Amino acid sequence: MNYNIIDARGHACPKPLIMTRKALRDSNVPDEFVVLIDRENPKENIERLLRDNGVTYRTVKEGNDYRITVIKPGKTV
Amino acid sequence: MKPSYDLLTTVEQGGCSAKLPPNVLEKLLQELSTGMEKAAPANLLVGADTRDDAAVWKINDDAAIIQTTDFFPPICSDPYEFGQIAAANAMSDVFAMGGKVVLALNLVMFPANKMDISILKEILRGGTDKVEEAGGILAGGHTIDDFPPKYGLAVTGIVHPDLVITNTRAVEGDVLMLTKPIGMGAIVAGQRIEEVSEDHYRKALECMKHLNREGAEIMQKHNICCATDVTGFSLLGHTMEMAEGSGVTITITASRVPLLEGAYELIDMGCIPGAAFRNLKYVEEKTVFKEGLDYNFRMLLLDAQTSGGLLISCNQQAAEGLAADLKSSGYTDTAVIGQVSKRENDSDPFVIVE
Repeated sequence: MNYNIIDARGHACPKPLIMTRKALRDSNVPDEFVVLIDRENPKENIERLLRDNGVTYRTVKEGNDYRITVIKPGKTV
Repeated sequence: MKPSYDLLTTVEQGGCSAKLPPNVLEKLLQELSTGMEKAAPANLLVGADTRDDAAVWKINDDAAIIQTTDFFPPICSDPYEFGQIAAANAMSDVFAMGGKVVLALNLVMFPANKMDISILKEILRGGTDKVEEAGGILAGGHTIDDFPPKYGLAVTGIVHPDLVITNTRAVEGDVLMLTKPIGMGAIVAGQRIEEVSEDHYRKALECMKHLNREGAEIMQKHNICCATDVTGFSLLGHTMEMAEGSGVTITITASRVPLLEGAYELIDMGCIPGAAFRNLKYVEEKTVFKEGLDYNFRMLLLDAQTSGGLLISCNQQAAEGLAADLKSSGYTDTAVIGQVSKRENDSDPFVIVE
C-alpha cells in the first residue's frame, strides 16, 4: 500500500478532510505526504484545516486536480 | 429500522448546510438596499437590516404578525422525519421572536418523475403533524418539480407588539444561555458516511424535531427581550449577529457549550462539514479565538445547525429561574455558555471564544 499518496479524488465531503486528518495521525504515513483532490471547495477546506493547525503545506495544480504536499508537524493535529 | 427510501442518498449537503455563504449574501443584500429600510414605516418593527430571524409588522396596539420562511434538501433518511424537522426548523424563527405560530404554507420541490409520490406524502405528513403540534394550521402551499427534493414552510406567527423578542438588545452584564446541544451538522454528515452510531443519530434527530414553542412561552414568562435561534450560521454566527446588533462583546466559554453525543468525536476524526468553513469566513474578522482553544471546539461552534436551540441573553438575576423552567419543560441540555460585556473600542471583537 502506498502510504505517501492520499487519493481523495471523487470522495464526497467531508471524506477528503477525514482522510487528511487520518494521514496526519497515522504513523505508517511518512512525514511528507501528498493529498490529491479534484475540487476547489474541499481543497480550500483541507488547506484551512492545515493552516489553522500550524501545518506546513504546498499546493500545486496538476491538470484538473490539486496536489497538496503536507509536512507533518511534530504534534498531534 | 431502515426507511423504505433513504432521502440522504439524494444529497451531498442538506439542512442549513445548504445556505449560501453568509458574507456573500450580506454584501448582496446591502447592495440591493435602496434606502427603504431607512424610510421604513413605523409598523415595520423588525426588518431585514438587523439580520433577525423574521419580519415583524405591527397591525394594531395588541398584535403584530411575524413572517418567516425556510426550506432545504433532506438532512435525514426517513421522509416523515425530514418533514417534521424541516417544519420545526421553519417555525423556529417565530418562537425565537417570542410569538405563536398561526398559519403555515408548504413549500415543496419534488421530482415526481424520479421518486415515488408516496415519499412526498410522508414528507408532508411529517410537516403537517409538526405544524399541528406547534399550535398552527397548515393552510395550503406550493409545489414544483425539482431534484433533489426540498421541503419547508412559509410561516405566519403572532406576537404582542410590545413583547417582540429581537437579537439586538443584549446588554453588559447579561449571561448567554443555549437551550439545545450543537453538533447536528457533524452528525448528519457522519450519518451519510456511516460513521455515527444509531443511538447518537437518533438523539440528534429527536433534538432537531423538538419545537422551540415552549421555549418561547418560557421566555415571555421571564420577560426576555433578546434572543435568537441557532441554525445554519452556527452558534458563533448567530452570536456574532446578536453582538453586532446589540453593540456589545459576547464571550463564549467553549467547554460549557452542550454538545450532541458523538459530535466531538466526528469533528476530531475530520468529519467537518463544508458549512463550518463557510461560517468561519463569516465570523473570523469579528471574532477572537483565544490561544490554546481546542481546534475541535472551534469547528463545533462553527457547525451549521438545523432547528437548533434558542440563544438567549438575560440578566444574571433571571438566569437561574429561566434555566430551571427550560430544563423542567424538556430542554434538558440548557446551559449558560457565556456572558455579555461592554464593547470598548471599534477595533474590539464582537465575539471572544475561550
